[in-house]
Amino acid sequence: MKSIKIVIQEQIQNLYMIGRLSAYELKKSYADNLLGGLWIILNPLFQIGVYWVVFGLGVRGGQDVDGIPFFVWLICGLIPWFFISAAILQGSNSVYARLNSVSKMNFPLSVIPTYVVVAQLYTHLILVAMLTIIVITSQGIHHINIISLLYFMLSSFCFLLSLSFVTSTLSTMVRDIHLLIQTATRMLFYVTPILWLPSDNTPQLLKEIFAMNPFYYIVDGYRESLLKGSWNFIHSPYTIIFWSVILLLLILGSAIHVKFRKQFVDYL
Amino acid sequence: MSYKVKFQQVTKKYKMYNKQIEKVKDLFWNRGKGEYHYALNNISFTVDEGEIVGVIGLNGSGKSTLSNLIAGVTMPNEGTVDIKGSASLIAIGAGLNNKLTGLENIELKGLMMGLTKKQIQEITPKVIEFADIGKFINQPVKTYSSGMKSRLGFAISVNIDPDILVIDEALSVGDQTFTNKCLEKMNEFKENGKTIFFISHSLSQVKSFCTKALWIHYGHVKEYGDINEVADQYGQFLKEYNKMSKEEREQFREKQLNEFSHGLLNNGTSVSKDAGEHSQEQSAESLSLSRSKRIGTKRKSVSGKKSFAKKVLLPAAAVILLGSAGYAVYAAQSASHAAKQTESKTQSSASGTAQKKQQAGKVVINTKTAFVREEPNLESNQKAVLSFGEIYQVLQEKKDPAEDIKWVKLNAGQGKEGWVSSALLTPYTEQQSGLTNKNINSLGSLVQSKYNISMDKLLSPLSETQQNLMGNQALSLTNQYESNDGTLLNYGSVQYVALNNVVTEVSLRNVDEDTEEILSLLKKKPLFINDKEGLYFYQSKNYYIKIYTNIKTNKIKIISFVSRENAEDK
Repeated sequence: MKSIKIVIQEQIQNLYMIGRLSAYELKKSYADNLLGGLWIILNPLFQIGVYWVVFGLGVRGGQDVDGIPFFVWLICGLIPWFFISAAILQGSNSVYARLNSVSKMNFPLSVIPTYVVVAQLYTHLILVAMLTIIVITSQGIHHINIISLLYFMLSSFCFLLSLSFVTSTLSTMVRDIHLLIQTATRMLFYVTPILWLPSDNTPQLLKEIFAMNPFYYIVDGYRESLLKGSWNFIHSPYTIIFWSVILLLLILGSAIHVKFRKQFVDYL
Repeated sequence: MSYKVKFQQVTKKYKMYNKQIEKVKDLFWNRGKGEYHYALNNISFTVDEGEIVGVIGLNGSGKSTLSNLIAGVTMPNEGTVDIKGSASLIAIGAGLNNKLTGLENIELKGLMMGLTKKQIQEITPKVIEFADIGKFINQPVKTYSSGMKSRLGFAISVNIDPDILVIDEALSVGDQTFTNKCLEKMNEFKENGKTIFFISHSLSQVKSFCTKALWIHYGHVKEYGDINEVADQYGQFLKEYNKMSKEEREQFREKQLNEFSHGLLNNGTSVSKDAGEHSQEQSAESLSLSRSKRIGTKRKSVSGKKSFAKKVLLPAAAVILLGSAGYAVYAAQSASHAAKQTESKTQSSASGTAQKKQQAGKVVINTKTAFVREEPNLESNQKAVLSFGEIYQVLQEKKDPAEDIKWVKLNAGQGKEGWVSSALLTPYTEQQSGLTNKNINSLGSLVQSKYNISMDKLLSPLSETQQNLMGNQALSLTNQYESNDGTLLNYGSVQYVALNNVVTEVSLRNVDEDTEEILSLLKKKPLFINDKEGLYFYQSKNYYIKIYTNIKTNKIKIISFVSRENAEDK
């Protein structure tokens, strides 16, 4: 518990630093490219295009999902997933990749996962803004529940941040873990119902297990708040499960981070 | 004096792994077993504020580990590292991002060092000016040359204004101009009472501006003390070491390493203490080698008594080789020493009786920093540090028969009495011919054009109160701070020092004029010259005039006027 306090204190003390460093993080990743920041949109656009053609037109044959065009339904799940996967991968590698540049100064290492995830959040905000516009033009404004959407953005951020504390520490010490996380993330994309719907014939138990998957909670939450405007998902017991997982990850993450960060440099 | 950095029995060890899986196992079970590399082994030392410590030693002796520990980058395995204030480590290119421009890097690094937005805005122009890389500041760092990178890195770190600065080989890639600029800046740090650790393989650089030296030898502190003493010993050691063949060196290294880690693995303080004594004996041995001719009998008795020491010595052949080499060095040294002595005699014998008077007379410090020791020998503790141009009453004189050093006892102020080597002192008599006011005024036009103040105005605040100085000042005050020497008041490059509210000294900084030229303006000969450190000492009826020069560029750095009335109290 003491380590949670240390980590949270460091975050609060360095809020300005986190803001500026995440801005540089974003700048850095597009600095070399001709199109620069345009890639924030271009990259997801191509991916969405491929999934839409393969799954929407190919597999489903252009069929609707509960009266919602497949394309709209797809991007409501894909865009939160882009955020999730980028934050997991970058977050896991965050400390290791930056250790060289910060190793020569006395720098609060716990802000590294934070600003890396925050940098991903910026990209996500742009995409969510565009997503909202698309949904409004195709489905009308009355289906959108903005407050619920903000809640899910916040909760996904908290989840990814606490996960990054765990993964960044582990993958700094044992490099294999980073590779493991890469593979796991790719698998999660297909395990989580993003491109497909759990069919009605699925046993109830399996459905429950799906719903307990925190990633499903996030993706479904985005869809509910954008397409159905419902609050139901927040009131469900899954919310408690989801936040317990966050708390658990935060306790574990800050504990191992504080325990091992003194030795990070020695692992280089 | 309060300390800034204190190491207490600090050990930093790295476990050697043969397999990756052992590393993982260790993470979770943390067993103590295994093979360790001791980067630093039970070292202790204390550094006061305002010191510049040169860290010297062979490759792989633990210098960089030490700097990492000071900067708080890594933690010791055992012992405590006590740092007062913020520490900043300057290493080549550290913290610079290749993709971002120089300007962006300034902000980035500033942020990472914990500066606020306002502080970053303040330092940015200073950094740009100091780094002096022109238009490249707006280009990505990847286009920089290695010199430019280190200049930018250095400029940022220096301007962040840490309390403790650790410079790890960062100056080795800069050119002479930039190195000088850095050294200048570091001198400024020194005057502000900040502490600097300077890690370099350039012994001359270390010697030229450090006050103390820390010699790390295979994870141990071999010597720590006055820069000249330690640097000379290290230089000597290097000469011997370089003469060894490859095999001998390896043998030497292994022996030292074995011995040290052996002492620690067996744990028990007595054993590690033994190892410490051991190394002292060894250094005593290597020292005595150089004096083998003079105190040959003594050396024999030492080595005879301590047969244990012999075991760790080099093979006999190497000893003989080194001994003869050491003697050659000694002979050369004693010759130069003799030459120096005659020189100082001629300088000080303006009146024929000066030598005799010296018995109970006064002496003046003839080096940048002189240590006052508790006892008249090199091993005793240092009590205080005296600086160039200070005048003291001689209380007692004593000769150290073993070391061939004459020691002078004096009162270093505040009731502290101690011993100073006579090599650092020059006899002083008040009657000695000095400069007239006319001589001093010949500097007037230079001062007027360079510092925009007349000679009268410059000197008149001396012996007056601090309020008087601040009230009647033509220049504007740039900053003011307290130091060990009193209050420092900077008016651009003119610095006044006030002690107990009385202005005692005024210095013209960054003079940057040709030494010969200025000295010829003064016409008279200085009271004494320290040509090794480029120091000149004059006196007039009212002032002592101290001139600090850079012997490499042959330019004057600082001209300082000390009011005689106040200085006499010492």
